[in-house]
Amino acid sequence: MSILIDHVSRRFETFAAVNDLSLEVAEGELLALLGPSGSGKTTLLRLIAGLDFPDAGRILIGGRDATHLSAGERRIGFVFQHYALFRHMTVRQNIDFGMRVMPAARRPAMAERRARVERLLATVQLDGLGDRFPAQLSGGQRQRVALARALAIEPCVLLLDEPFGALDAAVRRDLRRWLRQLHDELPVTTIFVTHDQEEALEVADRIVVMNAGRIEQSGTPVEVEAAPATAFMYGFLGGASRFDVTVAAGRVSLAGRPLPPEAVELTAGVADGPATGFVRAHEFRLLPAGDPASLLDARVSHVVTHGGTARVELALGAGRTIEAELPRAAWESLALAPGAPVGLRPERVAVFPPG
Amino acid sequence: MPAATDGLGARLLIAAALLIALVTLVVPLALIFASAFAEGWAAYVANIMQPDTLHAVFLTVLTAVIVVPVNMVFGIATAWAVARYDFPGRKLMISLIEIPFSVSPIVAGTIYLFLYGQQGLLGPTLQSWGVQVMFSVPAIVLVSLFVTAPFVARELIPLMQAQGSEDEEAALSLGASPWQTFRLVTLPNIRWALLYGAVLTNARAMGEFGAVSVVSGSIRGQTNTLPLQIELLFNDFNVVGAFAAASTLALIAVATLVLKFLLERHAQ
Repeated sequence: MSILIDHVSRRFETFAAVNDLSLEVAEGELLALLGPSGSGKTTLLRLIAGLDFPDAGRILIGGRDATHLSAGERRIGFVFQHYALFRHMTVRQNIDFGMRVMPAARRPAMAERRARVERLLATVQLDGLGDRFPAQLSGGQRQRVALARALAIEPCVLLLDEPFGALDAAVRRDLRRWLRQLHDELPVTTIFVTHDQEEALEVADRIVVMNAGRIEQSGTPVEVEAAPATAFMYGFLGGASRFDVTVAAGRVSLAGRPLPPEAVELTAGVADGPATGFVRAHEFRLLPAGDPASLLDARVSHVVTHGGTARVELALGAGRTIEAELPRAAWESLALAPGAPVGLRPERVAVFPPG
Repeated sequence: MPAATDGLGARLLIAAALLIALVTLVVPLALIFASAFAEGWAAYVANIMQPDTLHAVFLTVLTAVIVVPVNMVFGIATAWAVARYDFPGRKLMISLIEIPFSVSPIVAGTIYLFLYGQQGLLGPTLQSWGVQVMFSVPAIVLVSLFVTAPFVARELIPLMQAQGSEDEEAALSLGASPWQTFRLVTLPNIRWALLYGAVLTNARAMGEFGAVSVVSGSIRGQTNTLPLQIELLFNDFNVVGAFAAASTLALIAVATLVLKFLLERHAQ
């Protein structure tokens, strides 16, 4: 079902965890809530689930005002970061729990309950483990039991809080792909919280980045990755280098040298005077030292080649290091060893008000 | 893993520990049973079956049967409030729970005497309604409730804090009512600690002497619990009788230890 979050705020004492936030999630969408810790993403998820209640604003689920409904009345599947499996129940009993506690009038017959549990065990690829206790399962298996348990109530919305946060890298990758496939087969509106941008970019239809209780940017993974909209986004997505630049009559200069206008992206509200510029690692061009097109002089300090790309750490002097990323072939054709001088030319500089 | 026990010093220390345990714990316990059976099985049974002693056993069991469930409910409620909610005075409440432990049982008894006694704060009012609390069974139950109040809460608070409320939130989001959540999720999660607390409550409720002796009035066959009866018999120079009664309490203590051991093993 669709979800509409309408000017919702939630304060804890003096701290606004969610601050006048509005968001619309379409039916069947797989949405990632991305942000640094403390940005309010988990609080927002708990507000949607009814595990916490907003101080202001409304939450509509499937067009119905759910602001004051209890968690149980919302029929939302919630998967907790640490799974929260019932440790004294077997996997089957865990999955069956939501049906067991239904009022007798709505509760499916025993045969249907059993069949649904078996079906879910197969869906989450845990056939044969139904009689185990949570303590006898691996982290990835527990996560899937938690998911099956949430799906057993046939939820209209599925919420996952840092679903892969506690797992090791290989299991994470598998589960990520698997969640994506599961959502394609079973298109329940799904929101998952993560602080891992790679996870969000890989799994989600749409990414909502949160910062300090507000939405910083929202868009498809391609949009967010290609065009970070704010200075925060550049810092958060990582791999961008920050420079102090000067703006004069619409022309931007870096370290006293004017930047070519076609490489500059001025955001609205940048006044003349000092400003902040961001250059992402793959938007530097490396040139032989002394090349007239070069705008910055640096020295190679460290190189990591991984697959088809080379990540180069460059010393700018005064103890400052920045990172550039380029195709491995391009790096090899430059034939530079650590310690060698090199010229740099930013191909795109995003300029924001200073701060 | 325990360190190897080769050094002479280590052996001496272990021997000393065993010797002290033998002298201070095992010998007195054995002596209780030896003295109880000093005049043979028949005399032991006759002493136990003595009406006043039997009544004392009955009263002790009655007290425990009331006190243990009440304090289990109190303990769960307190632990729930402290572990699940943040409210003004929460820290103070955690300290308040400990008062019965930090105060001498005699003081506890005296407090109740001041509250409910004839010259006490509430005594005259209650008296005018025809209710006499002091020197009666309700007084014994009340002070027993007081001195054993902390046991269950103390076991549950750290456990419930460590477990957090995610399991309960999961149950609620799956549609369980608060009562279903408590019965199907909370209670099973805390059951061993709860039983352990109940066993300790029971042991203390049955064995309490100081507080009960102040408020019970020690009326033979009416308001005498087992510990008080033992003292009475002893003061009557009925050594076999005193030890026979004491042996029942000692048996309860041993059973408690076995239960405690089993529960602790189960809880791990």
